[in-house]
Amino acid sequence: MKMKLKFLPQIAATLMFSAMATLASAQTVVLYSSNNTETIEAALNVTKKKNASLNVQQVTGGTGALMKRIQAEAQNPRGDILWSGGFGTLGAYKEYMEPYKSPDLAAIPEEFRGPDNLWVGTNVHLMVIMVNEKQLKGLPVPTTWSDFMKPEWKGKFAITDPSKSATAYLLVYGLLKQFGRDGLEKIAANAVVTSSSGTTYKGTAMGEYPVGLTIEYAAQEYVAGGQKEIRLVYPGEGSYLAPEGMFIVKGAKNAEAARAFYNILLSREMQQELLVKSFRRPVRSDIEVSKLTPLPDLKSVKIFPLDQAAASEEYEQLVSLWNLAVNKAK
Amino acid sequence: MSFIKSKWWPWGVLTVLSLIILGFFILYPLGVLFSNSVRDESGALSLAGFAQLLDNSMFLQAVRNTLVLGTSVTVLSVGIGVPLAYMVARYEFPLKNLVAILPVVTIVIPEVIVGQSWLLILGNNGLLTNFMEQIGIELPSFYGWTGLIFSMTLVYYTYIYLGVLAALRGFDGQLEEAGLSLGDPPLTTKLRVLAPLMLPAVAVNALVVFSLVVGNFVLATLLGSRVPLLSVMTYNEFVNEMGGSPLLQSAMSVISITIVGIVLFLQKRVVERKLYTMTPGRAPNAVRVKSGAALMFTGCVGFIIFLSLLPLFIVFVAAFTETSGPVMKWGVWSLSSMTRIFRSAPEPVFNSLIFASIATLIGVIFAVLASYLIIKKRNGLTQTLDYIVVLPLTISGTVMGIALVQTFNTGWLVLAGTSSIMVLCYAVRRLPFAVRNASSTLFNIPDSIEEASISLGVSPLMSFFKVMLPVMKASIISAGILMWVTTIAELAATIVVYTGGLETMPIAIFRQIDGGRLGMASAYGAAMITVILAPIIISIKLFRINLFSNA
Repeated sequence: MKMKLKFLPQIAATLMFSAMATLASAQTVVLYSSNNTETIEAALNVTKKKNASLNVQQVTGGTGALMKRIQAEAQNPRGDILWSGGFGTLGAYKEYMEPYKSPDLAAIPEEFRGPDNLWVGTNVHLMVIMVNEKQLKGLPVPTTWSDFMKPEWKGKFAITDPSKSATAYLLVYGLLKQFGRDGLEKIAANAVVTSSSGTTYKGTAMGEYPVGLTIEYAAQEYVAGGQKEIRLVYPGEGSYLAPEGMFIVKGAKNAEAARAFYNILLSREMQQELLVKSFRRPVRSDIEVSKLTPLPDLKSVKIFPLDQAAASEEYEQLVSLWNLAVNKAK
Repeated sequence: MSFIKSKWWPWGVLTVLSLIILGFFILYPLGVLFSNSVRDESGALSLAGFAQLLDNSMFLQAVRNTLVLGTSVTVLSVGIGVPLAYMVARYEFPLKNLVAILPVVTIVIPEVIVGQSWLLILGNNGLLTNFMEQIGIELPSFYGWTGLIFSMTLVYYTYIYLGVLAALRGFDGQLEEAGLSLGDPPLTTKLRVLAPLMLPAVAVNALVVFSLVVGNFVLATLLGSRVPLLSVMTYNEFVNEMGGSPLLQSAMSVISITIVGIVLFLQKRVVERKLYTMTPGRAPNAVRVKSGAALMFTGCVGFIIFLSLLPLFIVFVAAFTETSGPVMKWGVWSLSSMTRIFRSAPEPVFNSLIFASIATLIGVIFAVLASYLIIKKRNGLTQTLDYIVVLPLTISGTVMGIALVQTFNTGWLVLAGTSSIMVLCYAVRRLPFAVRNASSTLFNIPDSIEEASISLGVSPLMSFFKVMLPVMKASIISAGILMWVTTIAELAATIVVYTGGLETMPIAIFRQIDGGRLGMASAYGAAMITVILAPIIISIKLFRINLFSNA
């Protein structure tokens, strides 16, 4: 019974995978991905065009779940490449990464590269104010982060619990750095705190909250889908950047194929496609976002700079500060 | 040789073996959970976890909300289930036979689909919401209390309905007639004779519903974003990206086990105190109702069945509807979501099929053995076996998942992160269903058949294989299908233990809903319902097995 429990699933999975592998004579690479199905699909289509002999097998899950898996498999890695995770999360798993210097690196600004070539940025999220104009009901369209410190916004905007999402973490970290503890506490006291990024942007799109402080691409998808009442506001005091990156797993079985795939993911063609299809803002400096999409170019958006490494070091502190502020308001 | 001839062989040995396996995979993890709840980081005994929780206003609010939700859903379920059962048991009206599908509906439609489809209809961008808005009526937000109470009542009223229906059918009509002949008016008779006799059935099933609501994770998390609830909070503490505190997870789990424990204790008291012995008599014949009343009865019953079945329909509609990212283009049909799940992301479909098949196989073998031991080979230990087998029924999926992960992530048997832990979750959570199903047929098989075989010189073990198994064939198939159907839909425990690459269909649905992709979620939903329904239809058509005769 115990034997059965332990090995049967693996045997079944191995049989299935090896059957799939023999079908493709070519190089196989195992991709661990936290991106949504459409984005992965778009990426694999570009890959097929650029290198038809590359056979990408995908394993999907949340970034945290995949990182735990990579950690558990460290002795015998089964994944070759992870795409993608926030820089803060990546920084906590350095020992499981194989450094690689891609020839495409020249097109990537310094701030979007990991230390010692351990990882490289693939796309960068912008934290914005997502407004559902139909639900404002007399409230003015907010233009700055500090608008949300005002009493009239109490209970009218959603923000994701920073311990549940890497992007939300950076947002709260940014608010703390920009407005200090006082400012953050005022915002926490007014906010509706949700337990996942999805809840924030979905809830705003569906009118549950008039405003959500969330990720640019997620908000833009509703605009692109034809929801006319959704509007993106880039706060006057500066938006925060949350870059995401990929890495090759240390001891990857298919290292060569992984590097080939890594270069494709970093290529101009790929980044343009993902921008157009999924509004993933590219890290490459040679793509003009405003020409391809309704989104503004990065250089025309005011950015409040954050130190990504420092942000992840202050994790415990920030989360407990936030919880304290939220509980105080209750 | 003397060992083999001893009275412990083979059944005594098998009982002990079953106990060891169950003890290891059910009792031991729960023990670990309890012990983790009273230990601080250094491993010393401490009640800090509970103290911290009692000091947390959010937590107290979540406990209060959970109890309020449990009570409201229970009251409403009784309000729907009892009249429905009474109508069906006592009256004849057009289309009454339709109610026969109700138990099937409860088992077949996974909660995640129910939650999702009601979001599609009544969510803030839902079909009905948008329609009403166009004609100028603004519906209240479905998220929060409205949606929670509405959808949970629709899922759980069948428990009350089935329980009360069974009791009404076993009720001796002469008792009521006696009341009437003694001169009491009909209403008084019902209140004084029928009501007290039905009360235990109502109370017992109401408490079952209450404990199911307390443990409910799926609907709670889909619809309750603004209402803190115990099950969701426990899960959130667990998934905390940077690793939540095992102390708090365990303490919260222990509190939810305690709540359900109290409920079960009450249930036992109710059953013991209110038990009237009634000679089974003939239930009164159903009365055919006249045109106006008939219309009303058919209308009421039809409406309830319609609401119960609607999710099934909506999910298929949404699965074939065009989408633009997260936005549904209602009325524009497309195969893109369906092709996408099979071409780009078929992994959850395969995983579900593989895990559920293995779990069903293990579960059925174990269930046949266990129920045979419990019913046909009673010894000092089989009672204990009986208790342990049904124990997982009383523990919510979230808690069971946390217990399994905390237990099997270190030590000599590491299962966390492998497909084995998914199979284990399935097997442990759904074993009680399979055992109950197998037991109920075993009751009806006379011991004499087997005794005849043994007296003819066939060994007990061979008699089991040659005589009992063939007789049990129908019940084995139905236990297997029941186990399959319920494992495919399992989410609460597996969402806790899964890691990347182990996604099943319900997990994929959950993640797609979280990412705002209702079209994709519906496509997985449609695939899931298909693999759930296929074996049911096959078994009814091919083996002519009435799956739900004893449901």
